[in-house]
Amino acid sequence: VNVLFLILTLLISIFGIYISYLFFKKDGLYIIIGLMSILAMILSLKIANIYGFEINIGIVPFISILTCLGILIQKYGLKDAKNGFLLSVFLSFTAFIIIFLTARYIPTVTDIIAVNVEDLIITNIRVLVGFVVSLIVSEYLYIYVYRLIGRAFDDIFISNTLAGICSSLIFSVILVAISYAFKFPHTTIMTLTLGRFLFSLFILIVHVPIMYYIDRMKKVK
Amino acid sequence: MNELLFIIEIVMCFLALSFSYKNSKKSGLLAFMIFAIVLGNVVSIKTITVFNLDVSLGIPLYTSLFLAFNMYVQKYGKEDILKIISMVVISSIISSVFLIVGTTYENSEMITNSNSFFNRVFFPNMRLVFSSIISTSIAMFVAANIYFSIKKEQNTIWVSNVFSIIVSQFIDTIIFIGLSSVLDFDPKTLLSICMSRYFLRMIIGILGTVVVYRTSSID
Repeated sequence: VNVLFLILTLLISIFGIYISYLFFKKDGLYIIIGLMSILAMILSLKIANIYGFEINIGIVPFISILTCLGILIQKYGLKDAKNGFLLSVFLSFTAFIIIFLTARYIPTVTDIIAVNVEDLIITNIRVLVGFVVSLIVSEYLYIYVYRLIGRAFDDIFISNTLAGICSSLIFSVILVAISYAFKFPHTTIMTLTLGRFLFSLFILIVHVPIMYYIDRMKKVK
Repeated sequence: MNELLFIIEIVMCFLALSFSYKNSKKSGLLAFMIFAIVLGNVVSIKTITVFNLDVSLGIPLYTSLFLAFNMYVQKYGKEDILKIISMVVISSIISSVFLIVGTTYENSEMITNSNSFFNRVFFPNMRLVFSSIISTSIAMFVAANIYFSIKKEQNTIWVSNVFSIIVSQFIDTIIFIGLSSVLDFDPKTLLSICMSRYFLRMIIGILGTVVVYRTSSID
C-alpha cells in the first residue's frame, strides 16, 4: 500500500509542476518551490516502511524542489536558480519559526488536538532543524554541481542525475544525522540514510521526463 | 505569552512577504501567496486566546496572503487574478491530497508515537479546507476589484489597501465561518467568532499597509 501512496504523490507532484508551468511559466516554478518547501518540511516528520526501507516521506516534495531548480538553471540561467534557492530557504525558515510558535502557544481549554500538536513538534524539533540545515546545503550543492556538469555535458538527464546524487546523499546524511543520531543504533541510522538516498534517486529519475518536456516548451518571458 | 508569540508571527509573515518580493519580484509574491494559504491551512488546527479573543491560528498568514495579492494588483494590474485564484485553489487541493496520503501511509514501527501524533494532527479537516478555499477565492476576487477600482480613481496605496482589506476580510470571515461552523454553534457564539476573527484580520491587514508601501517603493 505504501508503494502506491508513493507513486500517487509522485504523479501529483509532476502534475503540479506541469500545471503550474502551463499557467505561469517561470513564475510557476517558484510557486511549486514555495508549496513543496512547506510540504517537504511537514512530511519529513513521518517515517513509513516501503519495501523494507524506513523512508522519510518528505522526499517526493523535496525532489520536486530540485526538479524546479534544475529547470530554472537549464532554461533561465543561474541567477533565477539562485533566486529560487534563496526563496526556498527563506520560506522554509519562516515555516520552521511559525510551526515552532504553533507548538508554544497556550491553547484554549476546549482545544483537544493542541496537546498532540505540541507533542509532535517538540519531540521532532531535531527533525525540523535537520530539515532546514540539509535543505540549505543540498539545494546549494545541487545548483553548483548541475552548473558544473552542465558545462561539460549539455544533457538534462546527466546533469540532473549526477547533481541529484550528490545533493540527495548530502541531504540524507545531514537530515538523518541531525534528527536521529544517538537516538537509534548505527545500523538503523545507516538503513534510514541508505533508504532515503535510494528512493531519492528513483524519484529524481522519474522527474526527468517533465524536465525534458518543459525544457522543450517555448520560452516565454 | 500568546500575545507576544502572535506579534512575532505577524512580524515573521511581513518579513517573509518583503523578502519574497525583494528577492524574486512577481514570482516571489506568487510563491508567498501559495506558502501563506498552505501553511495557514496546516496551522489553523489549533485555537488560542489572544488579546481576550478566541481565534484559530493562521490568521497572520491568511491576512498576509491578501497583502501580497494587493501588492500584486498594485504592481502588475488585475489581468492575472483569475489565474492566481485558480493556482491558490489547485495548490490547496494538492497540499490536502499530500497530507491525506501522508497521514494514510502505514506507520513505520520505528517511531510509533510520533507517527500517530502526525496522523492525528495533519489529517486535513476537509470541511475546513473547502471552506477556506471557497472563502479565500471569493474574497480575493472582491479584494482585487476593489483595490483596482480605488487605484484607478485615486492612486493612493493606503486608501486602496485599507478599503480592500476591510471589505475582503469581512467577506472571507462571513463565508468561512458560515461554511465551516454554522451548524456547530448557536448564533451568539457564531457572531462572537466572526467578530474576533474579523477584528484581528482587519488590524493585521491595516498594519500591513506599511509593508505594501515599503515594497512598492522597490523597483
